[in-house]
Amino acid sequence: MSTVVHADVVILGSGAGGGTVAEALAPLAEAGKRVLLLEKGFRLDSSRLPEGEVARASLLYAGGGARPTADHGVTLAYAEGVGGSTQVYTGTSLLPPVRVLDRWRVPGLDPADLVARARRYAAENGVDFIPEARLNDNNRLFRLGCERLGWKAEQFPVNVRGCKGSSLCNLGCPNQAKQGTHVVQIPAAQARGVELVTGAEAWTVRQAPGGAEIDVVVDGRPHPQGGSGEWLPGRYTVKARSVVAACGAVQTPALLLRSGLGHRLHTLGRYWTCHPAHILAGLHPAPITNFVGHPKSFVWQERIAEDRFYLEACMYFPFTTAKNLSGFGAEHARLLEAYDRLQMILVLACDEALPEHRVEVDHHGRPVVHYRLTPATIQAMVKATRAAARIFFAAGADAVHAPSADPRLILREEGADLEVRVAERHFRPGSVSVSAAHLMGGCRMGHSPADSVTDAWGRVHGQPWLFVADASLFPSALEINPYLTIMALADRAAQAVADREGVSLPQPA
Amino acid sequence: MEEREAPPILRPLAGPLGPMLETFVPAAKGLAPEALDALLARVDARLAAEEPGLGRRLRLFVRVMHLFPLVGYGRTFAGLSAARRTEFFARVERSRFPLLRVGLWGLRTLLFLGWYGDPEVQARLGYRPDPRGWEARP
Repeated sequence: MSTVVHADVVILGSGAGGGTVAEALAPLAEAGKRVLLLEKGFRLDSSRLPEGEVARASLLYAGGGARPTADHGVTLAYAEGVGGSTQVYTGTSLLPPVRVLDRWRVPGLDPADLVARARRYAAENGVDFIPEARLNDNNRLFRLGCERLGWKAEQFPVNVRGCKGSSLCNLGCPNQAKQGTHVVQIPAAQARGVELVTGAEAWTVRQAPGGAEIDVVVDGRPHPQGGSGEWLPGRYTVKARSVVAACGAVQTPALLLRSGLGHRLHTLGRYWTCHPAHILAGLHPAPITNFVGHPKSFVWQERIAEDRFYLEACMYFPFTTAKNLSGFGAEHARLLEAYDRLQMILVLACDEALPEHRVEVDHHGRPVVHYRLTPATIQAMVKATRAAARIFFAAGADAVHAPSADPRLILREEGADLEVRVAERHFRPGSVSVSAAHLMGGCRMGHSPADSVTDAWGRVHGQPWLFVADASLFPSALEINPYLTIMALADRAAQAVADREGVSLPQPA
Repeated sequence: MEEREAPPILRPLAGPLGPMLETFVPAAKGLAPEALDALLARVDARLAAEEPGLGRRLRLFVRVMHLFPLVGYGRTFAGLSAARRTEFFARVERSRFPLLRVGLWGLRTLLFLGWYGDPEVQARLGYRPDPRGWEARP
C-alpha cells in the first residue's frame, strides 16, 4: 500500500546537479507548479557535526567515503545528504575544458553555451582565489617546487565566502563558507516554492499516463542530528509529468537500471570513469602549516595531454592519510608520527572511458561498480608519481613516500634514480590505496540510443519525461574537477524540463 | 553511541587481531584488552553500514591469516616473533594473488581506522584542527 503524491516536476538528488535544477526550475514553482526535490539523505548542519574524522565521514559519505568497486581495487568517495558531494568537496571551481568538450562531440552541445552557464554559477557561488596571506605551507611548497622545476602551478578558483581556513572542507565546512548547493541553490529554490523532501529514496521510475510514476521509500531512519524527514515513513507513488534524475554517477545509472531501461539503452551504466587517485607524502625537515588553511589551492596539469595525469596540492586527515600511504609497520608509523612535517600531493589519472567499466545492480538492486586499473592508467599514475616526487624534492623534502616505488621511501639523495625506483612493476593493484571522488559517466550524452543514454540536454532517449542532470552524463573523463560542468549541464537539463512544462527560463548571457 | 549498538563482527576475534594490529601499528603493542575491544568496536560500527557478506569474508580472512603461517613457519600468526609477523604480512602484500593483497589491504585499513581514527591518537600525532582555522593560530 503506497501513498500517492502528485507533482509536476520531481528532481531526484540534491547535489551539484539536482540542487542546480531545483533553483533553475524555481520559476515553475512560482508559476504554481509543484516541484519536488527528493533527497535520500538528510540536511546536515555542518556546524554541529561531531568532531572526529571517522564520525564526520560516516555521516557525510556513502560507506564512510570508501565504497569499494567490485574487485575492491578502488574506493569511491561520494556524499549523501542535502547538497550531495558539494558538502564535502574543496570547492575547486573550474570552467568546463573546451578541449574535452570538443572531444566529446555531443551533437547539440555547444561548448560556448556550457561555459557561459558555468560562468553564471561561478559568479553566483562567489568563486575566487584564496588570498596569498591565507595560503598554508603545504600549498606554497607545491607552488615552490613547481617554480624551481620551471613548471607552472595554477591556483584553483574556489567557491568560498568567509573561509576561515579550518582545513575541514572534505568533512563539511564547519563555518558554511563553502558555497555548495546546500548553501546557495537549494535555499534559494525553497524560498521560491520548491519543496524539499529528505530521507526519501527513489527506487524505480516508469512511464505512466500523463508522465511518470516514481516508487519512493521513506524508511523512517532517524535524522542523525535530531528531528525527522518531511514525509512519514512508508512507500509512496509520486506521479509527475517530468522527472530529473540527479543522484550522481553511481546512483543515477543504478536507478535507471532498476527501472528496466537497460534493455533499451545498451550503454546505460557503461563508459564509467573516475580519475583514480592516490596520495603521495613528502617529509620535510621542519614542521609546516598543513592542517590549517584551505587544503587544495594549486594544480599542475602541464602534462595532461601527453601523459594523462594531473597533480593537486592536498592535505588529508590522519586516518585517511594512514589508509592512503602504502605499507604498514615502523616506517609507515614514523610518517604518521611526523604528521606536522608532511606535505601531500594528490595524483590523478585521466582514465579512458571503456564499456566494461560500468555500474550494475545486484539482486537487491544496489549499485555495483565494475572497474579495473588498466595498464594505461597505471602508467599515468607512475609518471605522475615521478613528477610529484620531483616537486617534493624541489620544495625541500628529505624523503618521499611513493606506493609505486620499491622501497617505498625515497630519500633525497636517491632522487636522481626516480626513473628506476618508481616503476609500473612496483604498482600492485590491491596493495596501493587508490580512491576516486570524481565519479563520471554511466548515462553518457550522445546522438542516439545506439551510442548513449541521453541527448545533449539530458533527455533520456525514448523517454521524453525523463532527464538526467549529473556527472553520469559525461561521455568520458572531464580531466578537471567536475562541479561547475555538472552545474552547467544541469542548467541545460532544467531548461529542457521547463520547455516541456511550457515555461521559459532566462537564457545565459 | 555507535560503538554500543554495532553488531559484533571483528570484536570476537580480538585474540588473533591483537598481534595483527601490533604488526600494522607498532605503537599498539601492549594495548590493554579493554582498549583493543573499544578499537574493534569502532571498526565494527563502521562495518555495520556495509553489506553483511563483507563481515563474513573479513572474519574468514582473519582466520586464514592467523592459521596460514602454520604452513611456512610451523606457528600461528600470534606465535610468530614480531619480525616474522612483519615478514609474513610483507609476503602477503606482495602475493601474486590479488585476493590476498586486497584482503590484507582491507584488514590493514580497518585496523588503521580503529587506531588512527581515534581522536586521542590523532591529538598525539599533533593533529588538532580548529574550526576557527587561522584565527586559532597564535
